[in-house]
Amino acid sequence: MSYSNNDWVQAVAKLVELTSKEQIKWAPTEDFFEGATEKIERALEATLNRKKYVVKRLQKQEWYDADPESYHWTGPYYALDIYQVTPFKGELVASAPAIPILRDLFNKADGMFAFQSGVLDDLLKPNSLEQS
Amino acid sequence: MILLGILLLLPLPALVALYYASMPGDMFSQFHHFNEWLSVAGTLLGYWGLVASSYAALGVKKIEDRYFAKVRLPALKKNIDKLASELSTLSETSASDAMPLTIFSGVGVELRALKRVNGFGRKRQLKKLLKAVDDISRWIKNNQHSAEPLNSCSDFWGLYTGLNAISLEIKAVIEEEKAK
Repeated sequence: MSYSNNDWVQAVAKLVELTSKEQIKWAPTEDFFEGATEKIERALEATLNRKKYVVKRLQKQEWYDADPESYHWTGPYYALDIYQVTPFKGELVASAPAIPILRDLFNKADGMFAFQSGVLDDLLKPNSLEQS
Repeated sequence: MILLGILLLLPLPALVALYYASMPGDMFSQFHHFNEWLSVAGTLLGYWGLVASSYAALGVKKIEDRYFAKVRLPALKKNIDKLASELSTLSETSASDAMPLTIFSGVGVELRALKRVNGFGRKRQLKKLLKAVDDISRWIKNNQHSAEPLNSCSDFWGLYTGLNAISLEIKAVIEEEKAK
């Protein structure tokens, strides 16, 4: 037995739900797995029940010719990695298959992080800049 | 195919019965003229023709369904993906703001269109999703003066998960069709 794509959809939808209800909190992270032909643009992590979820937006190198310099970056792609947290080190347990719902999760996590850190508060509050 | 065989062989016992009835000394002894056997053969051929042409008509219907699904599914998948993605951005909207949103009727339209694609099937799953759409609309109507966000409506997440799952299944069906 292994997890089907349908199971992954259910699981990621649950993560989106938990994010939306603010039951898990995401924060940017530098601690992620980066493949040799990938460039991670942004990654966010959240911890729930001793598992660490890392959702990331990345670009992939793609060669259009045999020449090693003939590549360009394609994307954005979205990926989700799940780590088992042990006292010493997080161990990568699973990576989600490429399903479109990952984009929703990333955007939701990113949006919720921006909202929770209140980046727009100064601009949205009336007259907050004129006083200073 | 099995049904076709059964339907084709169905008249054989009747034929055997007629043969025994035509034996001399029996009370149904009128069955011994060549012309009468000819009429039995005609009836039999007519029956077989009916069965074979119904089978062909059924095959045409199947091909029509497949063709319709092939043309219709990619566009439906695109729309459903877009709506599912939009749904996820709406989850923090309060019920009072969600009242004028047209997305739920849009989801209903797409799901009903998908239900009409006979080559796709999965009617029960689609029926469940349509029920969820109705339940959400009712929930919004009942809570239209409260600031409760959509994410506290349990059907909302059922619909979101269901739409994403259906999108995966459509993708699988499209790929199967390409391979055929």
